[in-house]
Amino acid sequence: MIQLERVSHAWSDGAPALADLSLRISEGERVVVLGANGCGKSTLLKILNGLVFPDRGAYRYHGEPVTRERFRDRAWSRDFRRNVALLFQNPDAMLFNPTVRDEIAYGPRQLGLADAGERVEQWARALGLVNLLDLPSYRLSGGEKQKVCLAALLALEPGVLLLDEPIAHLDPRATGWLIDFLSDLKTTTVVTTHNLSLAPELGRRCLILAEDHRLLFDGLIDEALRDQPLLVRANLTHRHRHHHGALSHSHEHAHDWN
Amino acid sequence: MHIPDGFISPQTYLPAYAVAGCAWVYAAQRVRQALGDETVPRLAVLTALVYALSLVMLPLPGGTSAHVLGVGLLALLFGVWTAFLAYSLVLALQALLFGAGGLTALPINALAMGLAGAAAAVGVYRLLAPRHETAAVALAAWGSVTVAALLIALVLGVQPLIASAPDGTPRFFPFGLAITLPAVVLPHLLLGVAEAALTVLVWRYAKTRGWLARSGDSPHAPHAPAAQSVPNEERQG
Amino acid sequence: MSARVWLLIYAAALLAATLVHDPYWLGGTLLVAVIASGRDRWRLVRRTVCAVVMFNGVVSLGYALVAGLRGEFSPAYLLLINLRVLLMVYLGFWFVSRVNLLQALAFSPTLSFLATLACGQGLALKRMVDDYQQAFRSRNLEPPDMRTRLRHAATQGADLLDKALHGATETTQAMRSRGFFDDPA
Repeated sequence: MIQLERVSHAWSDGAPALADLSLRISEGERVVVLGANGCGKSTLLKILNGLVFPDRGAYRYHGEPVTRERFRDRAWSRDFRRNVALLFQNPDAMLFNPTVRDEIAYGPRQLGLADAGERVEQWARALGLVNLLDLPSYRLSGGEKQKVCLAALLALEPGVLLLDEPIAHLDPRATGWLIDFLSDLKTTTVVTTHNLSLAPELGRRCLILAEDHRLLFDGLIDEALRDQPLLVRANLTHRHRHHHGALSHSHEHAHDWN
Repeated sequence: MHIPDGFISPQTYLPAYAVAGCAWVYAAQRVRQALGDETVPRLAVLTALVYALSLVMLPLPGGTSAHVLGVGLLALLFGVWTAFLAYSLVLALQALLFGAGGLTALPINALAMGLAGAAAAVGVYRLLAPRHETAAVALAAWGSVTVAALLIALVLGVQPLIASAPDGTPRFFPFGLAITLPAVVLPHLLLGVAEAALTVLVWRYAKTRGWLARSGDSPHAPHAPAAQSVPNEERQG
Repeated sequence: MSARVWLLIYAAALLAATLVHDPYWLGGTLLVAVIASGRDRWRLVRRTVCAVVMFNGVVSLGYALVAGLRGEFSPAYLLLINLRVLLMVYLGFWFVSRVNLLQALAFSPTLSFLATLACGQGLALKRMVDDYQQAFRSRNLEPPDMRTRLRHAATQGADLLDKALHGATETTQAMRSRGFFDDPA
């Protein structure tokens, strides 16, 4: 369904964001993207969402090239935007409607769907937002805002859901809820994180981006997590001293910082 | 609406530097009195804000858009002198870090947009706010855009009069007032409407989020000492 | 030479470029500047042309039209104004590509703090605006109407204010904590 062929992208100042990346994702797959800060995880999602375009290489969605020019085709663009949804890392970036209800109804209303109101109710119930429907989103907590964004995306029933660091700013309870929620979804998901211990909960397949913005690993997450040298190369584990009473030693290990 | 380098004669920008220089010194003193310790961080952040606001796109009919000016909003929330300094700093940093805009046009852009625009906004607001607040905010924002555009049109339009060659061919901007006034001001009358609508909406947000009383030398709390703003800010964090 | 001296030379060159009205001098200086700027020159030339082409194009065409109708058209003027603008803008890009402004401000701790803080915060806010605009594109299935676009612009304005004010408080606290205010600069 999703296919990247030797995709590279650089920022306007020439600094690379992604280098020579190739991958395929099939329908229904749940993919976790791991990588240290600044290695291109967000850029990858923005390319998959058709917001940023590769400088070199090609992105195909259902076999069709996704390019700037392609988006000029109104019908195609509407279809793509409806089917491929991106949850931004900062939920504030996505919220601009007067109330939570309007926010969730925004997409369905743009499509002129007759059941927009029902969809709002359905997704508000699914995400526990029923009591917040008439509030403006700036009154909500960070976790609640993220749920509103998710509801707004899911109300269109997208085929692909891209999530950029969805657990980075959640407290433990909300994290647990989100993991369960995502694992019950049937859509194709691509989730970025730098949290190693939760990564296996988000999907079986794992992509690891290196600090030189190349794809370092593409395979089963269990294998990746057992491969200490790989994790060290990706700057996903670190070394520091441990103190056990009078003894002290140091070894590579991952801490999951949020 | 910025004037780029090269179209303004030294007969214009040298005196403009003198005027702007005095205004900068005075503004710095006023802002320092109002903000004390907070002057440097506040001014820096508001400078960043002016820059970022200018990246936001104002919707215009037909799917087109234009950049937000934002000086009316800034002046209403933080006062004329703070707005003027923040605008001047943005212009200076853009000229000296990105090579955008230009140093010779800087004092004119700063005085027209940062000072006259801000003063127009606050003047209109003070005049009309007792009668109808929303209308006052809207007209203040519209007025700031219009006044800035008018001044820029005037400065451009007098170039052929004051800086032509002896034989009458221009040396800097070639068009007189008969062309610059309609060409610059008329589109800004429309832009001002979009800017006014945006300013009213942001003003309402600012009000519901309780930001209006916090600014040191804003038109709402002209005599409020800077210290009063501290509890507000802490609540906000 | 220090950054500050370069700043003064740049300012003097700009002044000179507005005092000279001879296209040969302006063109000659531009040529010398392009040659002197070394390997960067084609990148700088490209940036310069891109930066001026719109405004200069409109002014030049407008002038040709208006002056032509009045029978006062002077090709020498077109050459003069375009060379002047190209020279001044080229010098600007050359200056910023070679000189670190923050170093040029080192003589005043307050000014360099101000510039450094403003740049850092400006970049952070710019990233925020980019994200908001991309999210808006991502969420729109159809081109949004005027009201929605206005509401989105207002949301960005309000959130920028929010973030900036929050940033100001944090920065002040951090500066206070590091003793910046104890030692008046």
